Amino acid sequence: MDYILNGFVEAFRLIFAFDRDVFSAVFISLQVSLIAIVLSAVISLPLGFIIATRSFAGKRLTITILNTLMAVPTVVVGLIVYTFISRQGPFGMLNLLFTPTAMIIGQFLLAMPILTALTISAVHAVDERIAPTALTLGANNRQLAYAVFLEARFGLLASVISGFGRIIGEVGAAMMLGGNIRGVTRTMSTAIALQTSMGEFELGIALGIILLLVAFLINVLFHYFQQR
Amino acid sequence: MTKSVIKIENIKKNYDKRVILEIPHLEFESGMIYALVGPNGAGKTTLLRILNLLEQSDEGEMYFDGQQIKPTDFLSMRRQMTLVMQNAVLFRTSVFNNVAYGLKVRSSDEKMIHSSVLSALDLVGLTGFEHRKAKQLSAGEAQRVALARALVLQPKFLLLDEPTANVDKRNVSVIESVLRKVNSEFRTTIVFTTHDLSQAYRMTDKIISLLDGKIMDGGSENTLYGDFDKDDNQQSFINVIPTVRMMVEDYKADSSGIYVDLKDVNISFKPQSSNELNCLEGHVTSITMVNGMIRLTINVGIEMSALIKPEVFQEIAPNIFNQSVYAVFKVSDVYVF
Repeated sequence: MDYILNGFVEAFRLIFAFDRDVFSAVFISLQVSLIAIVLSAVISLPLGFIIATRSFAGKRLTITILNTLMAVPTVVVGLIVYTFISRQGPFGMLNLLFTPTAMIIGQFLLAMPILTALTISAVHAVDERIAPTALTLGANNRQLAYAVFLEARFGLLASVISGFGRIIGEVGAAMMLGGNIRGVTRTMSTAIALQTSMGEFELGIALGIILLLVAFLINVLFHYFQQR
Repeated sequence: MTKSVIKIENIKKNYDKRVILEIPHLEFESGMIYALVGPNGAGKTTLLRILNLLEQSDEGEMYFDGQQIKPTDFLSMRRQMTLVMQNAVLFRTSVFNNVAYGLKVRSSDEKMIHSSVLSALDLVGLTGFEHRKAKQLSAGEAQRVALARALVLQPKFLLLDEPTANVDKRNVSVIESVLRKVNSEFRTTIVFTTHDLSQAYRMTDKIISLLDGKIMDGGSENTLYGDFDKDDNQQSFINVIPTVRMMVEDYKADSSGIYVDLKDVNISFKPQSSNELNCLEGHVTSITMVNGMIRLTINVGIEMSALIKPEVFQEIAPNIFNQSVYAVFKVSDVYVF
């Protein structure tokens, strides 16, 4: 049992000593996942809003497919993107495989259905009296949409946070598309997987603690905004 | 001649192949207060939503200040009026931002917004509430914020759906006095729906009675004026004319008359004696069909009307003109105003 305790002691030492491997993984993780989540939000929030507020043929099917995609295994997304960007794939000439860009593409695709589906629920959860209220107070169509959007803001923030939670800790796509190259594409989660398989727990535990800390901070921030 | 703010012609609205609103002609004159009364499902809310252009009728035309409204005018027309909905919802932000909303979407000047919002809050008795969060208000306060949010726009035409339902007594009188004030100060035309007939009579110039989506003519039928008094048993009553006395539950020093809903008046061939019933002898003077119901006019010394179902009418019809009838209605159904 000693190795667990020693693992924790060593982990804290690594964190407080600002170990290069630890913080390079943290930095790459945050960089890749933040870019992926921002790109995904830029597309998914308006998309989800449009799906939620318009009626069109196949709307229910679209929502069902999005809900299914929320649970798509990360390795499947990894596999699909891999086939497209590997040397023989249609985008092979872009040399994207084993780069942070490839990981961003994978995580973007993982986050998009989550953000879109949760945006749809967040917009549906807005009191149905909000739209006529905005209209009767003189809102034009753009102002009407904005009023509904503002009313849904906590739900939208929650969707972004859920999406971020899914991609910051995922291993499948990051490992397959990034290749776990030290200092370049090694993220917190891929580092943990590698170190654990090598029987070295210290770095893994240190990164695990930081991952939990990131999740904790995000939730604190979320609650702060919700209180306002 | 007073000008009509809104006029509707031949409006018809269907829902699931059922006609829910059918109004051949209705005009709202500038500076007047109107009450829309009628049972649930009579089409009151639908009429308000059509007037506010939130919904469109399937047939018919609407005129605003004499001009026919076209779909391209909806926004500019809507900006001259507003509707305060029943159990109005507030935006999830401060009271100030809620009240300022309509001015902001009209791109009003910031300074003007600030002072207008504060005076609108003043008007509804919520001075100092501007920084409160809307979601933390009581139901009565929220309804007053919704009212301030509408009044700040100084609309020409103010529509309110049950403005005092689910509001405690103190807030009812606040809301009523605010409506009277804006009506007299700004000549705002006001239309509100209510279940409270005594409020309708207290507040309005004209009552529009809706039943099954149609306007009942004679909203002022069974509106009687007279002198109130109490008898030796402390039973309150009203003397409409010396020979017509009706029991009422209670009255106030400034009460001036009563109203009995046409549907609450029953017809009987025998006199009925009870402390809870008014029973007036008379004879039927006219029978008309109204929206599938039968309206009887009974002369009991003065004219009273009753609205009865065709089945009931069939039973009493053979004897209706050759004998005395009694107009019977509960004391508790007499609205004193």
